[in-house]
Amino acid sequence: MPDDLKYDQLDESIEGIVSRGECTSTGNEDLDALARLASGLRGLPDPEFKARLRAQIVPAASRPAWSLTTLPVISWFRGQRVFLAGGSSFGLVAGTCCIIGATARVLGIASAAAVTNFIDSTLPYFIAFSIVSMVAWLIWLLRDRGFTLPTLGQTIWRHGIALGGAYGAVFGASMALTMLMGLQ
Amino acid sequence: MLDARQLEAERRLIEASKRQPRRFAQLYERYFDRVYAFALTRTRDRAAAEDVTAETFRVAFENLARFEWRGVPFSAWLVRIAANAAADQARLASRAEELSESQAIQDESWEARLIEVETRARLYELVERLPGDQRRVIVMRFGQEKSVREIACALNRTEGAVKLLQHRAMQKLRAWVGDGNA
Repeated sequence: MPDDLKYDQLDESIEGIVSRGECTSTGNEDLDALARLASGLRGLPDPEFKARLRAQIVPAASRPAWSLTTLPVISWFRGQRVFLAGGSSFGLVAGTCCIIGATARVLGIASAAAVTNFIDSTLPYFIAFSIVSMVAWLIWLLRDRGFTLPTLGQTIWRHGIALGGAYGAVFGASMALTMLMGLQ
Repeated sequence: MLDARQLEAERRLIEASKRQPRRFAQLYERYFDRVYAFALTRTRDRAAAEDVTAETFRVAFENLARFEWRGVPFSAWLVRIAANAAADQARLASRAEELSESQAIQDESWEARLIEVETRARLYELVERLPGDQRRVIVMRFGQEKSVREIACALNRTEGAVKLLQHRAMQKLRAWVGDGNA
């Protein structure tokens, strides 16, 4: 059965469950199993009701009126922490050769010239690997949202800033470290 | 079923809620799904289930100071309040069809009702664990009873993408329910 038809048939079953409380058979065993499960979701609590009731029950006066996490900047960072962590990890991957070189230089394992040569020859590969990884992550994010230009733009706008910013900061820090040590 | 350690943690949380009312929010978050599932199973109607749930937590919050710990899960106390609230509501209902429906529900066995409550509460918890967009679609479809078109508008997606997310979410829920260890 084509995928689109499956999605349509499941949606028709769900429409029947939600609007009339009827779970009709589609003739497809797999879809019928999903529809039976969906009937257990009829009447799923509305999160708005849950939040409203909580606000009514738990006294507002006893809640802190202000906390650091309510600041817009902090709350933005909290929402983006996965992407900040991702960007930092990829930045660390890109800067790994710089860090390896700097460590080898500090430990006296290699000369400054050898370290510089190592960084020169390997840095492009590390950068390429980290960029490919970021693109792969972007594709994974778009998998559920659909591969269209608007969703691509929205995803990059919403998360790309955090991802790219963290990447640049961590990669830049590792480059700065090597330069401070007199390495290129 | 809670083990001894979980019961002790629950007792401490209840004591803390008595001292600091805002700690009741933790009890609310922990038991909301179960109370609502119980209310829905008794009333079979969203609005009525919401009324019963609201009344249950209101009574529980107001009477928490009088709650005496006897080693029985807090949820048992909440369910008792919910059962009374549901019974009060059924008494207040004036339409004959509601009364007959309510009577039909009363005839169901406690065991069957308990299984249904647990199954529903478990499903609600699993929905919370779905990935962001899949969760939003399921919540809007079942919790807010929106059409696919309305969801597509709200999420700025195509209707096809919403149906795909819905299908994936249901498959994931089915796998988790089947595994029983999500």
